[in-house]
Amino acid sequence: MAKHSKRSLLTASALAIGMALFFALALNRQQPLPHAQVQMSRIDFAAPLPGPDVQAVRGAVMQVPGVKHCYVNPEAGTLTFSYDLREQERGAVLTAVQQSTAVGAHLFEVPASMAASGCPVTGPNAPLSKAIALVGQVWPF
Amino acid sequence: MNTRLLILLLGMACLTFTACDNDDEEPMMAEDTLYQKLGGTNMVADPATGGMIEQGRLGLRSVVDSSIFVIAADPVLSPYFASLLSEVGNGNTTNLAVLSENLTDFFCVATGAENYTYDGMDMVSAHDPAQNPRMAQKSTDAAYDAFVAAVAEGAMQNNVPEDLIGEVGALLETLRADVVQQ
Repeated sequence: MAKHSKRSLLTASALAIGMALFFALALNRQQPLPHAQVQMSRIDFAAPLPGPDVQAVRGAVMQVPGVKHCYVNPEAGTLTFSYDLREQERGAVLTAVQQSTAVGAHLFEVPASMAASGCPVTGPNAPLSKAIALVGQVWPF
Repeated sequence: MNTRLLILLLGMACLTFTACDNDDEEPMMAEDTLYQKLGGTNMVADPATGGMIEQGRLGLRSVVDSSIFVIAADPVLSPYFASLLSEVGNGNTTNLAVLSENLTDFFCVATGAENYTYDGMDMVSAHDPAQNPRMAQKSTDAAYDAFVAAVAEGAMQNNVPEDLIGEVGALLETLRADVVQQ
């Protein structure tokens, strides 16, 4: 009786592992996203940015190692930039900005209410997708 | 009787030849889709991955990527796109990368690409807070105007011809009723 239960358990385990591998194979056959590690961030200025400062700020940001792109909205007093998470952190960009203009600047912090709302950008960050990706790494195919 | 039959047969023969003649006419040329006008399925090098990519998709992705920066810099659109600016842990795919991929898929399909699919939510469901918990509030006309303007600016940054930007704008206008549900 005990031997029979053990065999059933082994069979069930094998089936579960097989199903996990099947889903990993079926769902994880996709190209890695371009720029998967490129993070976006925003810096807000205390006032609209004067024309001459726009070029100076943009130039300073683009010289920070790891920064990929930046965009300045002078009227709104905002700057968005992207950087490689593996190479840089956003504080370094803020420092570069503060050194290039007299206008006060600070990092935009996403309020908790906003962080949980907005565009439905889940996909690969969803728990199931992460689990499948993990299995894909353990079992390369 | 025989004469009538002969006339009938001659008439049928004429109709047959006429029909055959119509078949030989040049078929009407179908107008290029917006995707084809943007480069279509012509394969080119992808600077982001080092692989190959359809030129139409690369063009749309470039527009999308540029537009996202304009969107994130616009305080009017912040409530809808703030999650873009949320930092993810090292090793996780950033929301910028995910949104870029999703929006590019959507634009590819909407402009006529045949080799890509969009499997995200439909526009009505995605923008209805009752169906999409991540949509905290309904979109407004002003916010959608800002979104369309951001896409146009993204297209201009990538030197997309004005007439094609107009076509993109017209395409986005067809989605306004689905997005703005007030």
